[in-house]
Amino acid sequence: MPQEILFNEKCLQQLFHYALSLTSNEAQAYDLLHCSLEKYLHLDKSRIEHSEPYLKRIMRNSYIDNQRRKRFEEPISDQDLEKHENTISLIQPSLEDLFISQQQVSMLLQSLNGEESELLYLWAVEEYTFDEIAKMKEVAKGTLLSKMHRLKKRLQAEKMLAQTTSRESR
Amino acid sequence: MKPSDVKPLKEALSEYYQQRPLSSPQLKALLELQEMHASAQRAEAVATAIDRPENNRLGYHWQSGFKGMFFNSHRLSVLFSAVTAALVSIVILTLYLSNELTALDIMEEIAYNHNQNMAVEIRSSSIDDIDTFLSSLSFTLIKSNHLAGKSLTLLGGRYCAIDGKLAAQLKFEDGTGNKTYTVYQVARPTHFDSIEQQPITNYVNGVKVILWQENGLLLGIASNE
Repeated sequence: MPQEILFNEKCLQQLFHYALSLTSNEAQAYDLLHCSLEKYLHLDKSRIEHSEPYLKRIMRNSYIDNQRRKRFEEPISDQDLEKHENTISLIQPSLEDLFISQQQVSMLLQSLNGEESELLYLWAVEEYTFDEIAKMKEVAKGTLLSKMHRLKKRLQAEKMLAQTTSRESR
Repeated sequence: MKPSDVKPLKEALSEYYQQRPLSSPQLKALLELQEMHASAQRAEAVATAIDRPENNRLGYHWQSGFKGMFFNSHRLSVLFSAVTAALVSIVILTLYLSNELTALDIMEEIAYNHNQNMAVEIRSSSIDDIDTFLSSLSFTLIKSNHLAGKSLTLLGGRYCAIDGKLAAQLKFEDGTGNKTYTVYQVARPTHFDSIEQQPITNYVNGVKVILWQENGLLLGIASNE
């Protein structure tokens, strides 16, 4: 028997925020959610175990389809990886120590690409750990942390983020 | 950065997203989309169940009780299929007409605005100038691809209302200067998301109206035929 409502209001709000993290634009986020929901509703759902992650995946794939993949996922060279793998253990908790002015959040998100913005959303709003995000995205945790490290350095260089003095002194 | 302004990144990001919820009309549209799909699925499930011979109990009893008579199971099965098809058609037609009526309402508004023949508020052949003048619009005026092939001269523009929203009316004339066209641009209503991707044409009170979507806007053109 078909269910009346698969995604309730709370769930739709959360999915909208996820779409917003990808697009950084509210109108585009709504269009992305609407199109993806339409796609999802027409699928054979007998093999879908978890509807929400599945819809998120549709949204992400639709978004990537609409973007140039090169711009969305900046390739990381092997040299980059090697360089950062050694420092990962020091980097890991440091995002927790970063501070930002609320007025600068919008500017910050506009300066990110879709993937960076999505990672920050999953970490900050949905409160996934980097282990969980790496499994979800099927990438090595080192790769993920390396990307976050580069992001953090870039944002600090642009003076968007501040860091606690205790961390800086280490 | 002032110390009082700053927050932990995690908290600031979370707050940023919480401050940007779906609007009520958007939420309503998404919930309705799911309800409509569920209704269509139910109608399909009923039709499938009735079409299955093993579920056609009424046909079975009629056959055993009135064997050889006019109503045999095959005829009943055909009858049920026809009734089901008719019911499904009515549901689909109702949904289609309800959408079409919304489009028709807007086309009537466009025809009304066209027939008013109001003077332009800004006289210019530049869409950018008109856009600058009509600064209260919530969107930027576009040069429509649908009009690209037509040799129309832009005369000017003014504000108007479409679907209760602030819209732009642009006035054009053809190469001969004998025929006037009015073009309408308004932010696309949310209930138009899944329909009118292709232009639709209708005649309202002697006015030919074409309605279509483009770049997130709802556009219409009206002319006297």
